[in-house]
Amino acid sequence: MIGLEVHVQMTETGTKLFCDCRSNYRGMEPNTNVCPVCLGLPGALPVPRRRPLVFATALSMLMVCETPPAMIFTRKHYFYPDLPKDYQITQYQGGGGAPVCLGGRARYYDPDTDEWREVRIRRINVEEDPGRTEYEGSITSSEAAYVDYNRSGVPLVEVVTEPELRSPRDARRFVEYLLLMMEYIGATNPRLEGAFRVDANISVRGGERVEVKNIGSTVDLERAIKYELFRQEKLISQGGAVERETRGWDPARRLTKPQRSKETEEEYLYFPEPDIPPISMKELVIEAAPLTLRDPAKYMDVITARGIPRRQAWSIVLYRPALSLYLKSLDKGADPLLAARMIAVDLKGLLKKLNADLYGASSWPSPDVIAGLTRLVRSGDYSYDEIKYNSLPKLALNPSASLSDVLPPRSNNIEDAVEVVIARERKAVSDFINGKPEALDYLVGSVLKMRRGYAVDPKLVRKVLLSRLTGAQDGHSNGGDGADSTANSRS
Amino acid sequence: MLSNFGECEDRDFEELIRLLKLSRLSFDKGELEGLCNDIKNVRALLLRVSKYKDLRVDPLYNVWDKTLNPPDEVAERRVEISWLSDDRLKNNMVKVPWRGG
Amino acid sequence: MRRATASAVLEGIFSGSLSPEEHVMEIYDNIKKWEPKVKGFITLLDEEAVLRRAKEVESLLKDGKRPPLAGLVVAVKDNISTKFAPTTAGSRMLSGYVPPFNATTVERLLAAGAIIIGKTNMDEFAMGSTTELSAFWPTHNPWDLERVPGGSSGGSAAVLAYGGADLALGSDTGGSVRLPAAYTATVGLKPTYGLVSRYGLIPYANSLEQISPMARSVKDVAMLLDVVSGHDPFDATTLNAGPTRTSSVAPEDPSKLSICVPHEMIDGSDPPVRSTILKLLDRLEAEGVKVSYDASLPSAPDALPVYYTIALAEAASNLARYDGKLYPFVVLRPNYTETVTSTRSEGFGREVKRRILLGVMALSEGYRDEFYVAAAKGRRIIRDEVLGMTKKCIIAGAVSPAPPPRLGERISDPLKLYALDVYTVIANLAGVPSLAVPAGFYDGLPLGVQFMASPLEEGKLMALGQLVEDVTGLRGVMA
Repeated sequence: MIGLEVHVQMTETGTKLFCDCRSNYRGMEPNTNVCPVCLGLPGALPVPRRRPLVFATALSMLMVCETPPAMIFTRKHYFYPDLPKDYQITQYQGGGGAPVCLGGRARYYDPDTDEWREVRIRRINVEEDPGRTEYEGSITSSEAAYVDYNRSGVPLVEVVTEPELRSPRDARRFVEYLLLMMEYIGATNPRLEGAFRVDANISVRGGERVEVKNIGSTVDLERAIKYELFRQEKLISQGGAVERETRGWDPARRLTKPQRSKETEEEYLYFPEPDIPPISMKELVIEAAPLTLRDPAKYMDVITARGIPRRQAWSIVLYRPALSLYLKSLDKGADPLLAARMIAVDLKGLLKKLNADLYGASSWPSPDVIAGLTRLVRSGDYSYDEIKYNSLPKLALNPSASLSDVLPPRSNNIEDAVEVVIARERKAVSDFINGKPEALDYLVGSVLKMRRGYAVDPKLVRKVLLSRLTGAQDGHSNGGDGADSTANSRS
Repeated sequence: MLSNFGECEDRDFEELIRLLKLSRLSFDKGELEGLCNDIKNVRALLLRVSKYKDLRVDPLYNVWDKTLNPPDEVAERRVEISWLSDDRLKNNMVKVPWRGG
Repeated sequence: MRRATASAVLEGIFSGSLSPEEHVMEIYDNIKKWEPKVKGFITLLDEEAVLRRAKEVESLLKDGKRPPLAGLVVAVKDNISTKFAPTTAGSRMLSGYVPPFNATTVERLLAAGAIIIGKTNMDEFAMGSTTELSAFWPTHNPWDLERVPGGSSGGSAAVLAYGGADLALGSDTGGSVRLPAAYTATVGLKPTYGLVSRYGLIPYANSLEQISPMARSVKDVAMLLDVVSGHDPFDATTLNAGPTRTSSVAPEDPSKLSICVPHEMIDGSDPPVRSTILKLLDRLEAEGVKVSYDASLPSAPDALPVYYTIALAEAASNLARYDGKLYPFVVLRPNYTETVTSTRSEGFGREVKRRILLGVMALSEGYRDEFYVAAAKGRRIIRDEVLGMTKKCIIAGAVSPAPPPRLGERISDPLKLYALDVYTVIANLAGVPSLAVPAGFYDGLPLGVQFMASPLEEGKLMALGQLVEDVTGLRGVMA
């Protein structure tokens, strides 16, 4: 059984959860993004900011959650250097609190199997991030801990699933989709370092639950669960027992290790946060409603409704600028199927090869150009391949190019290229004459290569080559007609 | 039930030790007995509230039962950690003895 | 008896007959004479800086400005954050701590032209009722130096009583401003919960306490309240109410005032306390005020345990942050846990440590329902009872069951100490405003009386309070 607790930072709220220090602290000198509130100085008081609460509500609504009439924060106490007040402000129902989601279900897409799946959500709560601690050497032997409170107070959502995920890969897909949802709502940039952490609860039949804490990437999540399942099953098969414990994931050595066991006597002493009155959910739901339209699933539906295959639709939805480009191109009259193929398959491939930032809007061309290109293919002025091999590479290199910049000029000078290729590719020619049809494909490819940068119709090239080669066969025996036939077939 | 008077029993001492650990506090050995008695007596006073335990009313945590309208932003009030001496910081990070915790 | 009110000083300053600098020098005369014996201050601000500020206020006045507290000297309890002076909350744990920010109430004082002269002594982290539990030293009552001035705002009250300030700020969690007021013949108001910002107040019990104005007359307290009160976006528990306007409230026709005296608010008090209060109420009745003794708050006997359960739980939580990482005081040990335990054990006094242990107990698994949650339910019952009564009349009662105790009398046994709060905690539990004014003297020792009204009815309390001052003749008295 696999259950997850995913902590996602709301990096894009602008402010921290209870004060106006910045929600994205990366690149700042230590302890320069702090104020009395997020340092927990005595007398400073937490005042929840609206935006993180609206984002959390939107996520809760997208997961079809039961919401409380009012959100209530609680204090969770433990002693640690990175926790300024030695309590964290969170939302725990057992302690008199009320989390933003009391239970719901999350649909997520698995591109490997092209399936939509569902997992039940136990709860979602809004809470503050602690600071960041550094050690000298290992965490067990370091003489001192060094703390930077820039991160203290950054808003988090903690999403807890029921232990229903089916495999390491399944768990990974869920988290990837959750991060995509958070990106679409506008709450998080998931690619920022440390933007999310996952704790995985893993058990096998006959064993107790093991918690693997603080996994920092989706790839590591899959590896960690896989390792842990293997470790537990092996232990049981060898006659051992899997006991309740907490372990950590070592990404370098790719294994889980036991963590210092927490004293069983520790208690969190939860009680409702006296500095923060309950916050009515009614207004938050109204404010969050427009954000719930930004749902990857809804966009997938919109795209596939036009006949685009799901996997291709997913490829578009994965990158927000690609989705934006796609939808805007349709607005400008682009053919849905062609645009999808251009964007999701060919352009994407080209950009990846160039190591471009697919998440950056400036990497993608303008909707006018895409619309224009699909129109030209639709009307028969150009073939898809001509666009694919000539225009799209230009656009990948220079996304701000205009339509005229990228259209290859028409060239009718196929005959010269054909001659050159026939003369050069002696082996292929003889292969074809000796009955190997695939040699013709090779020759066509060679001509296209030569004529790169121009719009060349491969079908026409094939026609010319065929006539030349069959003519050549005769020509070989005759010796003189070849040139005449070539001249006559100029179109 | 704990009685109001008399010595602290083993059970009371055990409870006291547990609370001391949870609170990260320590007392001198000689003070422990007096402390145990004081805690026991005050606890008996506080226990008078247990009569309300099963009452069917909502507990009152915010005296006016009001709700909050959260603001968008109020004002940035960044500070520097100016009240700690230099030996408590390294590269502007707060330094705390650790050795495993 | 010496008398002086802040209002009279302000009049002098506005009329030009008294300069802020002259007034500050008068204050320093009192301080030099009394402080060595009373020891009400923890920190006195640098005299040069204070005189510079006085001159600053003077030029504001010359420019034609009239800040509402121009040139008035204010003492601030040491649990209220000031970035220009150390803020210790009376504890070793915060020795050397200078906050990087001012409390909102301090900002408002400065904007009103007040001159802050120093930070006053208090029971450590506001946990106490006599100011004997300060980590520094006990403060002595100017009316009888062998007696306590009350607590936890005892320093502010004592300084007012000998004339070391015109106005003062204290904090009242369970009576910590009203008790010292009663013991020092001064006036203290615990405002409606949420009327005054707690931003900058080092917290003891967040859901119970308010920063509270203190002075030698009701009108002075009203002036101070008008400046510091009102919604603060930095405190989510403040009400959406503007600053009050109680200092310009017209004298009330006595026949319009109605007082009820629940017997629980006077039962169990020493005979001198009881008789002084009853005598005062008779005199008010003679003035036309309606007084009814046919009243009862049946849940009042539970107020003390309900209060302490909630207060100690919140206190334990608020004090968790002191673990040696972020504040100057620390006891360094090789590892973190030992550093934490040693720092806390040496930084906190005995009473504070006791209260933390009890608070942790009240919140721990297995006890939470029968202590913390039960107390919160009891609090709703008590609140509703009080609100039901204040709708109909102003509730009168004793402040302390006894005259000011001698030093050492109450601090050997926690229960004896807590018993001093028996009449005052009810106002904190219910969130209602409560005004403590001098009722009379017994054997030269001040005795006080308290009045509670409905939320945001501070104006009504001020009107009654002024009438009481007329009747007792004790407005503005000093030791």
